[in-house]
Amino acid sequence: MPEYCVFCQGMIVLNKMNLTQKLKDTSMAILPVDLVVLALHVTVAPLAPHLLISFLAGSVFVILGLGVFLAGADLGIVPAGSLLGASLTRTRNLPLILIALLISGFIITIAEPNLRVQGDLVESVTGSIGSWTLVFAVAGGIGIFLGIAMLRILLQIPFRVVIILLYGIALALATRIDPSLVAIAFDSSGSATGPLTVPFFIALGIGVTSVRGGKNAEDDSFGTTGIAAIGPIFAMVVVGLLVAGKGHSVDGPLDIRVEAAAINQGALELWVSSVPSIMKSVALSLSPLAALLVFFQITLLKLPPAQVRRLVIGLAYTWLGLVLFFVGANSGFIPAGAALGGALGALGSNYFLVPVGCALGSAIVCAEPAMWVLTSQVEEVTSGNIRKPAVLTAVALGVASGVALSMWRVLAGFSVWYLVGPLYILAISLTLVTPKLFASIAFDSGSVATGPVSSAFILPLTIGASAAAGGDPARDAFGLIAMIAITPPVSMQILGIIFHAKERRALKKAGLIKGEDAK
Amino acid sequence: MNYDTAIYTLVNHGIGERIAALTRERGARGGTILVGKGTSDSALLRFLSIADIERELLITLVTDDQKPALIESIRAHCAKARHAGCLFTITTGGKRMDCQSKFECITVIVNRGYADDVMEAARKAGATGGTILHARGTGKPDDEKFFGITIVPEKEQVIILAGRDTAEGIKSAISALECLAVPGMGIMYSSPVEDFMPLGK
Repeated sequence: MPEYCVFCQGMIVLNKMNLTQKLKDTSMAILPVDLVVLALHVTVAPLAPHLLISFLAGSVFVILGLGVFLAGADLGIVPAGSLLGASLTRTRNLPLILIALLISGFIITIAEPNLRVQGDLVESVTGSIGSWTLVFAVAGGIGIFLGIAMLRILLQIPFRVVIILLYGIALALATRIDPSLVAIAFDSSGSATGPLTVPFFIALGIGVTSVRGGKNAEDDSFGTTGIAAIGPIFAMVVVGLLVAGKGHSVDGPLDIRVEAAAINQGALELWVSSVPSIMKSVALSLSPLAALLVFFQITLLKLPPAQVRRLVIGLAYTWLGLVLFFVGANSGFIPAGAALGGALGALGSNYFLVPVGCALGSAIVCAEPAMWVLTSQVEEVTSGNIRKPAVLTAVALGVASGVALSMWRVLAGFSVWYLVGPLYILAISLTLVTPKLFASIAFDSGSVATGPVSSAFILPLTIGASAAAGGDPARDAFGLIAMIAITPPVSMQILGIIFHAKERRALKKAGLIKGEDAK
Repeated sequence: MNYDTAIYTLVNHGIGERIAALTRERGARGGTILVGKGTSDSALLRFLSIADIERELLITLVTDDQKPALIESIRAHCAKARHAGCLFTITTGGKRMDCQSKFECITVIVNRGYADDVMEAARKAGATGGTILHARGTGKPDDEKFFGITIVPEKEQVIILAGRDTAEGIKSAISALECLAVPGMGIMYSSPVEDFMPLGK
């Protein structure tokens, strides 16, 4: 074998390897967060030295964790989800498909650690809604709506029809229940779509569409998460209607979560003490998924051994990556975020917070693990036509404007519905004009943006500002989550319209389509 | 004009577009990029399952007049990068193949999930690497329908470049696999390639 053949087709190309490439990508994403925090540190909001060191060490863990998690997702959750989606569809047994999806969605959501924290908080504030009631309701909602999302793909019902219908009903029903329960509903939707559920749902959708074929396969590959995320809102509305009358009023579950995050423990102590519990909780949330895969491997998938080995290793990487990530995030990122929020809030009612929120918002969303899975799947499904940076930029701009608008609203003190209402209507109506693929990616990106990192980092800032401006912190915090959930769909769809126009111009220039050709 | 040659340029992820732009500047009319993955040579990395490298395969159709200049410009463009990729050409026109070519391009199309098995067998038989592309079957007209949808099988296409001396061994190793022995799971063919060259240092 001539030696140059070795050169061309393999070699240990360490600097070009997938994992190294991923680490490079994630470092580029986390560095802006570091820069923003450092800039704030030297200017207006100096952090205590141990917090700053902790934060910087935390970012190293977050970068490593994200990189390893993504490598693991590529080997484990993503192929598993899409193989499962494909095999289920191939059985052509509709009841089986729907039941399997319902159970899968339910089991995986129950395992989401954020959701359990959310359940405990809601129980402690409402008294009338038990922790497990919330968890089961939300997981059930996700399961049912995951089924609806797949049914849509199989029956080829346009995404926009489903989204308009479901969001329309959800928003209409939301006006029928206690406004504070609406806050819980939206927040539950945010906590149910975490770093494990989102990649799996995205992959399921891609798997189902990949065997369906047809010319719209690409358009329908996404949107599963966006539809599933409506489930918890419906579920909470049902719970709200059931407990109506006998419940007490709710005073802001989010408030408590933020205080819980602002820990005054010694930095090193926090690092060491958090590791075992994180290892356990990540393992706990991965185990139902693993059990599900073992079950389907025996009954349905029957993959060849090489493939099984990859899945197992992938799940191990996912675990390791998430442990590293959460250790870094919980011990470094979140305390710094809380301290920063407090310091900035203490500056008082100050419009300086608007650009700060903007910068932090756009930087922090790039640290969401699920965001990276979404962008790389988009790139893969479109064969590189829609690149990662384009999607990331659109979502970052969306979150930035969402945070900035929320800050402005908090400082100016008007009701959140004046912003959220029109934005939801705008996002839903944009589905009518935007290219179909972008509409479905857009709603996925909305549920991805409300992940554990962005809410943990930006919420304290809002709470601080709200307290300083004399607002109601609980309601303001809710407004923020609802805003971050809806601004990325708007910005993604606008990107879609621009993208489409540019593509048409390029094709026209190349003489491939005629000017009067409408489509 | 006869487009008698297809230039296949295999590079790392993200570089294909740059080379496509370069070839267009030099007179090529266009190019098609396929996204795939390659695997590294290191047994350790393969054991850890982190050996995947994202790759792009650029296919450019050229005339015989353009061919030398284009190949040279791609080679010059990649000259500074380390292990940039490789390039080869396949004769497409009515011309007779050059039977003296020293390399073969083995293409295996199998049901999804079996590409790793194919690669493993090929490696054992002396292949140094390969590229896996995602694909889907088109289905036969009498295929099963489900809600009016044709269920199409997902496929993986493996491309392995090998010297004449090892190609026979690789082919027989692959055809012994289950996915080629059972009807309906996979096919394999090979074609001679010319102008094979590594890109970069």
